[in-house]
Amino acid sequence: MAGASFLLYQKRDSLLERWDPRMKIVAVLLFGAALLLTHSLGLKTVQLLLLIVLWGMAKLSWRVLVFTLLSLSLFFASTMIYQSVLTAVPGESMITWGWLSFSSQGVIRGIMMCEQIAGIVLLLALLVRTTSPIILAEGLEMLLKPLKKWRLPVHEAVMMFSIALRFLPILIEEFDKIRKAQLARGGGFHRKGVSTRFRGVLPMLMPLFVMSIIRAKDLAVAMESRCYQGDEGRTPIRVYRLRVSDYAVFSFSIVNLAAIFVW
Amino acid sequence: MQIKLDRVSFTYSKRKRNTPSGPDVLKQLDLTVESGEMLAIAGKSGSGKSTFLQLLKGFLAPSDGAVLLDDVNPRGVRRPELFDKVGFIFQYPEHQLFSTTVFDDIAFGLQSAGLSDEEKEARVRQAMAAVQLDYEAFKDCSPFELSGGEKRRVAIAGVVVLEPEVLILDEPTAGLDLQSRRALFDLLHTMNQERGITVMWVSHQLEEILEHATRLIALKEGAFLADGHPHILLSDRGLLNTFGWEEPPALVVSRLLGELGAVDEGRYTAALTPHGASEAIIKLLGKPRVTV
Repeated sequence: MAGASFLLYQKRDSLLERWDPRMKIVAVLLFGAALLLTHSLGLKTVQLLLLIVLWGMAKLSWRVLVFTLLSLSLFFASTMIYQSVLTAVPGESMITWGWLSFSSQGVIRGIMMCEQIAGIVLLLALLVRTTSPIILAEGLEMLLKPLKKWRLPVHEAVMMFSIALRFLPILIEEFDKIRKAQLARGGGFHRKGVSTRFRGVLPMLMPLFVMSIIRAKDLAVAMESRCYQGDEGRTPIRVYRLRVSDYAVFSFSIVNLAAIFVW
Repeated sequence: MQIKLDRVSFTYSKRKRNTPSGPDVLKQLDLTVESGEMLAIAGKSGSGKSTFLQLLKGFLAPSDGAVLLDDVNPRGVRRPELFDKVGFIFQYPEHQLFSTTVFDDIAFGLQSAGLSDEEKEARVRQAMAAVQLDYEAFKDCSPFELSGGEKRRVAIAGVVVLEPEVLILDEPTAGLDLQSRRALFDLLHTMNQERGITVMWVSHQLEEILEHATRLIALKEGAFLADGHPHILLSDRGLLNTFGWEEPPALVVSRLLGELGAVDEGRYTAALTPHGASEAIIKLLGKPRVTV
């Protein structure tokens, strides 16, 4: 369940929650682009530190931040090994440590790559943890509005995304319950060998799958019974207006992106 | 099997602390459940009932104190398999069915037991008989094609096949019609009387508790507020008010009959059953005794 909390929005009344969802999505895209495009270790480090500051401003749990970063440790380790040991280019200065020899440039590349992975994950975590799924979907729909001209079902796609996001915690709770129920009637299979444990996966996934379909069917009936007909004739319940702080966020994101060409 | 709770407390992690009972879901619980009891657990939502049951099954570890099975603390001696003697049936157990046939679903728990095919078949046959499902008629059926009551029986058979000594059920009659509810309790009584299985279940139905339980535990904000015979506890106005419960109609009738002198003083529980109440009414009317 700890992993689930990484994706859940909880109202904390922070500054980031008050930012316009459209601007937050644009800022995330711009910040992400800056993180991916910059080749400077210093700038990537500054960007990562900035995200950590934003995490604090969002009043999010430091424990979750540590957990999030620790859960990526396997990625970090494999990236470091790949970059520093396996991709050494002839002519690069090598560091020898015992029988190990790795490229100093590769180590820097590895650190940059790790910072990039951590940055992208924190960026997305900040977005989903400081924006309620409904507001996030509304923001996304407004941003994608121009695509409706080409008859793309933007509203429906965003609605599906928002429902999926909202159902995640329910599915996780459901999975936990099914897991315990199957353990209760499994005769201790979870304490046996790998093959026995592997056979126990289907009994957990199958009911979850069936329940998801039943839940989706019920939801569709409930939506239809409330006269939901897709995008046709829908009016927004919330009207968003950009404020000074939103323009400031946008300007900062542009400056951050521009910085990669200067630094 | 005797289950003993020795000053058991349970606290959820910080993240899940917004429960009605506060951070301490269960507080310093002491309890002994003897073999063969029919024990009902009642309490408002969020009082800690489900947490309490999950501690007994070993799904959760107490923050403080110990759960002892026959005076052994399975966690203390690092023998979690002792909890396998406790069968646990969640609410809506039919949602956990997954196999293509009833036989495979019930036999799921036997896969890791190292039994021969004949032994497996015998155990499944026995479990299906225990839940009153005809082996030949149902074994090859898809569990998804059965009625709600039948599905629940299959799910219960999936636990009974492991031959537990204690059976814990979380709101077993939720979503069942009257006939299926009666059939389920007949089944639980049979298992309790013929096999000596201890049955513990969570219920919000006071009539059901009055009819089937030999002991009632009332939980409030993580603590046992009352523990005793359901007839006595459910006659306690103070307790009923505390939980916002209404006195079960059968108790009201028997109490009124007692007040009218139709039943002997102190024996008003004799009028709790339809048979006992009718005898008392006949006595009150002064008519000769008839067989009901």
